[in-house]
Amino acid sequence: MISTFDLTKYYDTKPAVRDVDLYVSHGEICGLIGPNGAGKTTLLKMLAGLLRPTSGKIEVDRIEVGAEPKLLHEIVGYVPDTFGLYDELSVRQFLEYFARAHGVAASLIRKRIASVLELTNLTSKLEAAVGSLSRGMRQRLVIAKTLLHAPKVLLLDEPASGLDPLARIELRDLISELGRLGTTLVVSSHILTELEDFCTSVVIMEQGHVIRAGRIEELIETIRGGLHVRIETVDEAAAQRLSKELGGRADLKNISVNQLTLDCIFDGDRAALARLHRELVTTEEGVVSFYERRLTIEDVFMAVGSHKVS
Amino acid sequence: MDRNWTIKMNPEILRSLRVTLPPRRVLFITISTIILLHIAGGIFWNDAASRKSLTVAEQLARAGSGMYWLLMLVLFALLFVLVPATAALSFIQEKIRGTSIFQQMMLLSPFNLAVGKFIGSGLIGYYVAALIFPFFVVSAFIGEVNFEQFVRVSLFLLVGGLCSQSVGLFISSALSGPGERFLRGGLLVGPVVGGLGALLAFALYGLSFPDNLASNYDRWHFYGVGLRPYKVVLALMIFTGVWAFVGTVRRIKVSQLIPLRPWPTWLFFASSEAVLIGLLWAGFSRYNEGRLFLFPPIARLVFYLLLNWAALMILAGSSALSRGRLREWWSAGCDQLALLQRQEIRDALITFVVALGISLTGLTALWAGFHTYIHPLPQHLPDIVQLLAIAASFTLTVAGMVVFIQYCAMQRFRIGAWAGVALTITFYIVMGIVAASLENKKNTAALLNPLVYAATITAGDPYMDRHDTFDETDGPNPREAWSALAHGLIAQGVLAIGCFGLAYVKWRQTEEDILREST
Repeated sequence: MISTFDLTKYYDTKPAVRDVDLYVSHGEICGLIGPNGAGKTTLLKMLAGLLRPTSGKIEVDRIEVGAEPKLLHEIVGYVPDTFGLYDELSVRQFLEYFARAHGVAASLIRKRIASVLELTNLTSKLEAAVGSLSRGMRQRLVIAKTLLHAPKVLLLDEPASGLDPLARIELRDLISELGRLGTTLVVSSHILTELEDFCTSVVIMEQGHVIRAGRIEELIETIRGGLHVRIETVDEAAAQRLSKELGGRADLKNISVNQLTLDCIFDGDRAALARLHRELVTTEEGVVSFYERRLTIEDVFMAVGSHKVS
Repeated sequence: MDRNWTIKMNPEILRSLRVTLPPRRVLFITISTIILLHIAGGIFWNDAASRKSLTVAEQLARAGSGMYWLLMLVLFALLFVLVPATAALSFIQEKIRGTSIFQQMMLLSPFNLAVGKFIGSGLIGYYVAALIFPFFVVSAFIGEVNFEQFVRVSLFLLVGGLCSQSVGLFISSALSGPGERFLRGGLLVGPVVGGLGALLAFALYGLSFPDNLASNYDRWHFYGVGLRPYKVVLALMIFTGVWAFVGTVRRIKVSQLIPLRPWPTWLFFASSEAVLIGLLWAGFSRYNEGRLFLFPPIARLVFYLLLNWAALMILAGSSALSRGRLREWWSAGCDQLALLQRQEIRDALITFVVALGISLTGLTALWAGFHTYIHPLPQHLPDIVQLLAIAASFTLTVAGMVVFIQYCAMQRFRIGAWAGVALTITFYIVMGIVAASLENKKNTAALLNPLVYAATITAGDPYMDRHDTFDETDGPNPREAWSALAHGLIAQGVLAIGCFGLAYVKWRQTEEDILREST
């Protein structure tokens, strides 16, 4: 659905995105991860046809971005990270305006508005003034507005920023629902754990480059290198003592202590891990808990990135 | 609001209508306007009625006339100040509010968006004007205002208001493009445009409706045809308004990344030159029209060259290739984007050449217009030599200026090519001061300026400079004339070559830098 080839964007002399090759297939929910200044917003704006690349090529549903911006805007919806709304209008008037501006047939407008409001859980706010909506509702209203012309691709730039926990949960559910409906989504976010809940693949960017891309399980597999174990102790001294004691073992590597917890990678099978568990419980080093830690996208990000901000 | 009649309306107009003129506001504006009009009418009538020496008919006429002038002033303020000021804010407000990004992506055509913005931005102003207009008509009738005068003022208000609004909208769209650097203090643009509208109204009103009765019979000439000044002013306002609107549509296209075709720019240059030449044309001037001598052909020619020079400078400043554009040019891609970018760059260069060509064609046409006497007059330098020298001097100067601006565009100046424009203007100002301080007025510093050069080599020429005398001994001798001609061309040629040299070295250096950075 979305492909980029050697995509590069310079702002004057500063490279924001460099040589990005990307492929997002139909119906996928792709998370875009990276520190501030990694080039996520620039990449999304180029995909949305709002920013022209310096060089390279972008294809969205076989439309080459740049040559036919209007055709592209028919199939792409973009929700920016910061935006304003026409606060004086009611939700209905606001959506009517965008529906007509996007060429939705007059006979379909009411039906389309009802369906996007239902999807975004804003039906009860139809006649409310846009200015009276909360931050989360405004975010959902913009998504509703973006869905009016039924785009095949939806690009969301930091959609969860500034939302309270409840609004985040609602947004997550909405994104998952859109994915189920067959919309291809690219979502950028700083909150990595959230992305993991609904993304099928991720792209990790740093200093304008894509440093890793692929399905989440595959990426996790690339950094696994053994069983990741977390041990929690009664106090910091116990954690330090345990770290020294375990440091001599050949089957444990990458031991790191963080206050009461000790993380390490165990090189062995699960039966051997069970033996290690028994050993630690019988020692008197104050072990409180011992478990195999499930790797997340955050671990991938921490493992592959240099965490430099461009 | 009933949705049946709104369904086919331009959505941008409908949005503006809903935002700026909701029913309560309409009611408030209507009532307060009518009350204020009645109060003003009462005051004028009270004043007229207190003059017991006048008959009732005279008192009515006096009150009507006073009201007419007041309403005219109010209509001027509305249409020349308020409407363009609000138009100038329309795109900028979208940018500041954060809604412009949605307009960039919407499928409404740029033309319809511009129409929506145009009508939407003037809604309040036009609504109040529409409320006032019937009172204006009635007061003109009661005040016994000359009917022709009334029609002319009404036309002037309508056309001038629309023109100012169109210009305001263009300024707004130009300042709210993808580069946001102009937006600091963007809200000041509205009052500035409003202020300019007021000045424009004042100046154009003075030209169109002079106080001096004799001046009412003045004629301006357009390709030699005598026209009343207000007709020329109206035509110029229509011309400006239409092109400002076209410019707005193009700016919207730029913001939506829609590729632009170059021919509208060529057409703009060609039509502007045609209008300018028509106004400066003197082919049909007769000796008994004394006022013509206030502006001898050389003054008109210098004015023409000055405007063209400024236009070409602006064009060079806006189309010079920044490092970013050069990077696009040197990117090795053969995909559609690369081809499009290269086409845009080529178009920018061709547009400049076309504009220069139009400029020189206009110069030739204007020159021909100044040399229409059947009987040849004695000259120090042949016509064709003078024309070719002026054309060559202008071309050399413009070419040097363009490459210098391009040289500056390749530097890492914050304002890019505009630094080149500023430095060019500074250079010619400094040269002007140096030239003025030297005893010999035909010095190199003076002759570097193509305007001074044109004036120098045509000084004393019976066609260009001295209509009232054909005395050959009055002007410079041929030897001096030939010497100034060669001196100026050599100086300008050396300057242009210097600019080309600078730009060439920088071009190569930039290419190396960019290719190295890319790898």
